[in-house]
Amino acid sequence: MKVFVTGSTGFLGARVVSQLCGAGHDVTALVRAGSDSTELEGQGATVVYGELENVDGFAASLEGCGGVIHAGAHVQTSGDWSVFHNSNVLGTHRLIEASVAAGVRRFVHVSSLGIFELGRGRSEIEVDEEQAYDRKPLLRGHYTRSKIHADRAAMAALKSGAPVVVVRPGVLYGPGRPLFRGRVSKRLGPLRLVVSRASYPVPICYVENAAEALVLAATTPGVDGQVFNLVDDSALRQREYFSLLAAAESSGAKVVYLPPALLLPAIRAVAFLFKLLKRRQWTPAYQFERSARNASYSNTRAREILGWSATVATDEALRRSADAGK
Amino acid sequence: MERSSSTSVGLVGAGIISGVHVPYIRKAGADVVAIADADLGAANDLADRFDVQRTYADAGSMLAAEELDVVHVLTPPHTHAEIAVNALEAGVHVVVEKPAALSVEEVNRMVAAADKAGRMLCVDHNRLFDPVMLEARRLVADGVLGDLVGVESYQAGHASERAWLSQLTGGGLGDLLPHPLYLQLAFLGPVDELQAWAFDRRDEKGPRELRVLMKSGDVSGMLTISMNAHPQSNTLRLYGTRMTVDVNLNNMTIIRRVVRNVPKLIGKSLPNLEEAWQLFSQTGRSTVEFLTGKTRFYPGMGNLLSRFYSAVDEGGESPVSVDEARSVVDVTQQIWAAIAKDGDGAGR
Ligand SMILES: NC(=O)c1ccc[n+]([C@@H]2O[C@H](COP(=O)([O-])OP(=O)(O)OC[C@H]3O[C@@H](n4cnc5c(N)ncnc54)[C@H](O)[C@@H]3O)[C@@H](O)[C@H]2O)c1
Repeated sequence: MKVFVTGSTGFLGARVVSQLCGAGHDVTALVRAGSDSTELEGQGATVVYGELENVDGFAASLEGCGGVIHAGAHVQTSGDWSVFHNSNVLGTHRLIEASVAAGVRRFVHVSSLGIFELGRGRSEIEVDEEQAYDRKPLLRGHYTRSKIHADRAAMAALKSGAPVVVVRPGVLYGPGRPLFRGRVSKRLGPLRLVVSRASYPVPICYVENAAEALVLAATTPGVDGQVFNLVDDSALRQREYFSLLAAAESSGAKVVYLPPALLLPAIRAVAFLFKLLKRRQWTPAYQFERSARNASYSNTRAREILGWSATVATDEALRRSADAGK
Repeated sequence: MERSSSTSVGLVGAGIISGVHVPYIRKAGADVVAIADADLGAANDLADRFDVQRTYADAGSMLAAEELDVVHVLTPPHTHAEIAVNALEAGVHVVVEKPAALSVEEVNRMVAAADKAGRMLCVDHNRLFDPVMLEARRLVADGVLGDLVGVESYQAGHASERAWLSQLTGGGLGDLLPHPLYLQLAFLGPVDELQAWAFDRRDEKGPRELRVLMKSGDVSGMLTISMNAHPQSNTLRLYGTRMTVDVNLNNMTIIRRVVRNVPKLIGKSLPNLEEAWQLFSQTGRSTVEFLTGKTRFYPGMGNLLSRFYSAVDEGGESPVSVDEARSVVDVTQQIWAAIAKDGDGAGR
């Protein structure tokens, strides 16, 4: 099948391209002008230059494609909202429109598990594919806010009958990226302080496993209109994760869990003062509350409907990632 | 997790007025589940502000994707008819912003679609439902005012700048006109004769002054819009055979004047004291209501939508009839036609 991939030089997109090429698909890779495309070409992909801000500029290359995997996004921690809006939100919207117009039979949108509302408190929350979006997107930073809007755009197309599939992976890791060490955590000499509880879930996804899910989402018949949350292992808890991590890195840092409930009063007090003095919300407080939530995510749909499973198990995935970092 | 609510509402148009609709829709017990705007960023901004789950870049996709009971059409007036007709054909009730449309022909198409679908078409003549207007309408309906002799309205203000004003006859002034007009027509009934003047076209965006004189049977209507007079004012005066009623739609006060058979000496001062007392007590009450959040902005819209959504739930009548929607558009067309016939001056 001819597959068009955005974000093809990115952490996830690059894996998608190699898996597709490896499986004998005919890949067209969207690349920003100035990016290095030698590796893509080496694998046999056709390179098209263009920007998500200007879909019309490359829309002609969508003709004849059976699938599109949209793994590209403007991923930055700062910058103007308009840039995030134009590339991530309008870019997604226009790319879907253009794909439908070009007769593409499957559009896979890569979203994220970070877009959901998690509520407050200590009780465990099970997040499924129908979970509402974060009620306070303005406190989430431009990138996450734009991912929420992009997910909305994909869901709008999906619900209006376009052949869209939405895949929402958890925290991605793998060679080339720092390993996950808790959302809020700090190394202190021989100790690693992690704000969480040993029993809380760890919603992570190994990048090769995520890429496999995307390829399946693009090539499996009959899954139009499906939405998949994606984590390697729904049952993985902090305690287990950090011991696997220690084994993979053969490092001796002892993990000490700081129960979020212990810190929340202090954080809320700071947030209260901040609001009093600056007259706006202190966003780290909100992000802290979110990251301290006991939220679990299921991969049941991906396993049952896509026939996906985490090919690389967590211990092996951590070892590969740790080795690459050495 | 979807919130379950009996009535699902979609908005088309996420501009200035949409932010006023959402809280009142929710207060009426319905839920806004989706927003469509040609400017997807505007739809998303509104969704962020009010925690609405889904957004669309066009009304058609929203109608195709969502199971809606009601659609609010909050786009520029020249786009109302097409969007409302499509929504009605999709089987939903429609609330449309003022003016319902630009021509009687458009309104007729909307009404036909509503009749065919058996759905309500309700235009947002919100000011008719401001508490002071409800009181004024009651005084007339109950005959307290006697027979109505004349209606006068004076509006001094300006329209907020929006690109689509250029598509509207009369520009910014044309944007203001529906409000005083539907207030007048609610009392006048069918207009048999009409004269209109529009003048002061110094800034090319349309006239800055409008005067309209209307007659309906034995009742007259005088309507003024001034974009030059300051400060802003928005008043409606009803003259009856037994009472005069002065409604101030800016300050939300209503003053009644009746004939008192008292000695001449007090006869001069008593009415003043009565007026002063009415103003004083109502100012106190409206300040309290404003501060406690009971009336805030556009209180009439809250009342209108609460009636509309009761009608949706219980199968009643729309709080604003399609005849009212049509007559406002009809008289608007007559006003501008009369003005056009006379060049820049008076029309008859
Ligand atoms: N009742 C009142 O007191 C009151 C007050 C203000 C405005 N209004 C009325 O509300 C309506 C909107 O006014 P506003 O001030 O919010 O205007 P606005 O310009 O702020 O917003 C209009 C929105 O509609 C969108 N839009 C335009 N055409 C569209 C289309 N075909 N499909 C989808 N979206 C489209 C625009 O992108 C814009 O976001 C007008 O009819 C106006 O007369 C009524």
